[in-house]
Amino acid sequence: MATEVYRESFERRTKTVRYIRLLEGLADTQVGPLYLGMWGALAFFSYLLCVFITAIGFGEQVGYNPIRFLRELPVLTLYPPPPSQGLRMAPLQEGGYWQLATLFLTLTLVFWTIRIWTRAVANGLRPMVPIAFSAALFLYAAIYIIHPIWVNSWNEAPPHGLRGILLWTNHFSVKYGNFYYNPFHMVSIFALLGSTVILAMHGATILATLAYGAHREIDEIEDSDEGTHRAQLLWRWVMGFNATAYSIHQWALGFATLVAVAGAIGVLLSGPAEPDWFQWGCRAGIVPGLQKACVP
Amino acid sequence: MSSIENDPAPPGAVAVYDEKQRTILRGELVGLVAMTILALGGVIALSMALVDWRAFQGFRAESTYNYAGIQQVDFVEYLRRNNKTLAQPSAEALQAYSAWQQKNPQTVNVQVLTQYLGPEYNTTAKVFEYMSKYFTPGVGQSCEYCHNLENFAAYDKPQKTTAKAMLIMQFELQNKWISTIPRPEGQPLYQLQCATCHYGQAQFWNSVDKNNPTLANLAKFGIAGGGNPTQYDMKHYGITLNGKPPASYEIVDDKLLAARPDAKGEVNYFQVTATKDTPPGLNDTYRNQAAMYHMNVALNVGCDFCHYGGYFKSYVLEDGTFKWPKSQSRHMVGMIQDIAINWFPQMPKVDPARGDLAQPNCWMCHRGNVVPPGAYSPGAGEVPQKVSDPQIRPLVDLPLPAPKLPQK
Amino acid sequence: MLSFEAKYRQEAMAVPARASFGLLKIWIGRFYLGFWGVVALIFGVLGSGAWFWQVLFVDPNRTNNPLLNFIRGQIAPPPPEVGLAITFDGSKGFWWLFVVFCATVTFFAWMMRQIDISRLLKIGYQVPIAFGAVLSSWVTIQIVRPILLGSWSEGFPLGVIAHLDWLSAFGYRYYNFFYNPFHAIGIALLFGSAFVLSLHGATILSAARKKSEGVTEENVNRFYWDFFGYSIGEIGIHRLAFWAAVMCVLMSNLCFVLSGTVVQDWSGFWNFWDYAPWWSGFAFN
Repeated sequence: MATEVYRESFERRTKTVRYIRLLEGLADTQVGPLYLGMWGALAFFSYLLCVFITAIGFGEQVGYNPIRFLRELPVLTLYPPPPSQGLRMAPLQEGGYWQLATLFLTLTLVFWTIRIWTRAVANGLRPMVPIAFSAALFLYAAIYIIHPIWVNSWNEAPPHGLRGILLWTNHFSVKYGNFYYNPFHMVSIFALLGSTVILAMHGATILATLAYGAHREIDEIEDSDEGTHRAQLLWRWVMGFNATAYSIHQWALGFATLVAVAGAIGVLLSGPAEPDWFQWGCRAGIVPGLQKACVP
Repeated sequence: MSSIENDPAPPGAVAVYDEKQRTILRGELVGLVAMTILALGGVIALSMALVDWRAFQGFRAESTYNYAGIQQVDFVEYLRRNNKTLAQPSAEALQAYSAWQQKNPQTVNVQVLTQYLGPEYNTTAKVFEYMSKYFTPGVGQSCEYCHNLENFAAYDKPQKTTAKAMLIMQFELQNKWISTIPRPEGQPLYQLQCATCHYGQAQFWNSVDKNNPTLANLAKFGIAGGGNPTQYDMKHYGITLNGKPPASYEIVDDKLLAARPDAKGEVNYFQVTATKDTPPGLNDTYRNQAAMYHMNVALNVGCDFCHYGGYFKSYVLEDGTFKWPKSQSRHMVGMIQDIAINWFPQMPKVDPARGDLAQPNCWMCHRGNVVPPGAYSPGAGEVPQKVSDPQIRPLVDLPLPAPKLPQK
Repeated sequence: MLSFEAKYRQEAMAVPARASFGLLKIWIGRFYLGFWGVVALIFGVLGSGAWFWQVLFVDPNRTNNPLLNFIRGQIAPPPPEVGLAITFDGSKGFWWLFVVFCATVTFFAWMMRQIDISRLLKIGYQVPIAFGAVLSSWVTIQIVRPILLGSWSEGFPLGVIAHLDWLSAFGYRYYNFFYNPFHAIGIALLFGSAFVLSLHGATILSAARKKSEGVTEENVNRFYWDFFGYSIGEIGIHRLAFWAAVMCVLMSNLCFVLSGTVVQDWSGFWNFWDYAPWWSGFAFN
């Protein structure tokens, strides 16, 4: 057991440990102990603020009527400020709530990343999980902060709300021509679907070789055993290529990281670098048919 | 736990463990099948119970545009679906008409029909034919609703003044917008008549059906459902009508009313795809999508009915096939703009206390059909006007010279 | 051959042939052949050969840049007026039907081959089950849904960019696919899969090859208890992985097969929510 390196002022764990009987046979049943720590406390409070501001914003829309809140929850949305406000601090009703909520959401994510980092190091692990998480953080920052600042308007950031986030996804694509023609979006989606394939392959392989103990991956990496051998041979015989217990996790991390990084680059290039991805497709010559749809 | 698992397994343990895993997998598969059946059944049940099943029967979103699968719903059939019947002149009115016709075989003071339809409308019988065939079923009222049965030529009812103005509007819109709609060869040219908008109701649809907020009614107006913006949404998108967010978004807003043709004579009411000069912000895109969803619901078609799915801005498919509906719907939005700016504001009202007339929109005539059931389908003998070159017709400059409407 | 492979090949030869044909129990280089391998090879070569031939040499819109042809070329499905008729050579859409048929046979044979190999290696059938989920997606979109709607034209064109165009048009055809609840669940599971994959990969990499420092599974558990409150465990993570990925594909099957057959307007589908019976009795607006 590695030693605790980070000493924190909020250093405490929950005392009770619970067990979920329902999960028996499927997964580990133990819940807790949860570690608090300074970064955990900060993340918790800033997330609480974010939720509180969002709740106030939503509450104003429904007149603080709880039944109306439930009924309209799917379409309740906190919008960013209108384009006329640019990057200014907007009045609360006109996007100020969104700005505050986004600020605290960003802080939460940053604190959470630091928290994972300190916990990983304290438990003697390499900080790979926070590094992987920071890829997602980069995508978040690209969408919510860097792109809006680059185009000089918070209005291009996604609103907060169930329908709002879907509308933004749709409309961002429509505004910049067609995101399917964005090559970085293509790479990102390729990696996203590829991640699911790799996950299914890896999960299925390990489940299939449970009886031989292939799931003890940390041990298998150092000294591979019968289960890992059979798992490797399965893929070698099926498709002529096999990863090892170690390299499959490198593939995993690589693909999953590529999703976020390529997606972030695609978002950042939209607007300043390329306002219309379909026209980019026209110039690249990849539009199917006779390129008739490329209006002059 | 690691210490236990690292121990060598006792003989037989592997087999037992394998058996347990198999049981788990079997349970998971059964649960999966049950979930799928539940989800399928749930959606089908919800759709049958809550979505208007009839609307779906005639629906096929065509990925390539042609009129092959699109039939006009018969007007009588449409009325029957809405639990209405074709209105007929009352017996009393027929009696009064025959007395009037005996007295005046030639028309007295008939102006609009002779001007727009031709000099043959100079006999009372001919005018009666037109009135009973188009006016009565279209507006759903017998002659006495507008006419003084003692004297058919008199203007002593405000309804008659309004009806005359409406008739002028019908012919003017027909000439300016409907007859000039860009269309491929062979596509039939439908015509406006009273029923095209009124659908057998004298009082306008928005004021009647909207006050009866049943689910079916509201769903048809596109008010319910996820696709329409709420008032709060409209406030943020900057959608206003007469300076304030309208109760529900129905295409006519201040931006549409203010839109004027550019130097090329084209009006880009809803253009959103960015160029190098596009100002930042997504609000115009949100407004655009609200308008598009209104058209979806009004015509009961998916977006690719008008658009090339790969690029909404384009007027052609990837193989160069011209998407007629896109230029047609632009043309039609021009008509809505024309009605909203030039016709409705000066329309003489039957009851001035009723406030402003509702704004025109796509649903007003289309009601969930590509071809409005209320549109007049020309006879086989009439050759539709041919437009062979697939150019987008520039919209006629707005505003129009003020139409000549009769004063009360 | 891997260092330990010979032992397992001998073991595999001793497994009695049941579903597979014992005659073809041979390895070509690294690949296991087997009866289903032969089927997959024949139809795979036929199908992909037909696709490349059509796209690179027949497509009337082809350029003289083969890479560009590969990206923008396509085989379009039969036109709507053909309906469900099986067209023959020379008619429009024949090559689409041909490639779809070959691909379906190939995918099925590939799944059977995975079953064979799983048997030879005496391991579970989870891999062919996961592959079957993806196969079900192909069958749903290209075969079941077109049959339900009565026209092969409902299938997607076989081409790199062309199928993206189809996807875009398909979503907007039913008003807005973002309102499709099964699409939403599918996408959530898709992103969830990437998230789980990232977490699992990073976790194992962070603990791997540190035995000399005393790092074991226990450290990973403590790490997850610390920051998340729950550690799903070595078996649990793979079970979660398997079902997240499989459910993602199955949900997308539902979202496709319901569009156009049962539901035409995914936005209007939600109309029921505002007027659901449980809201009655409360005064709104």
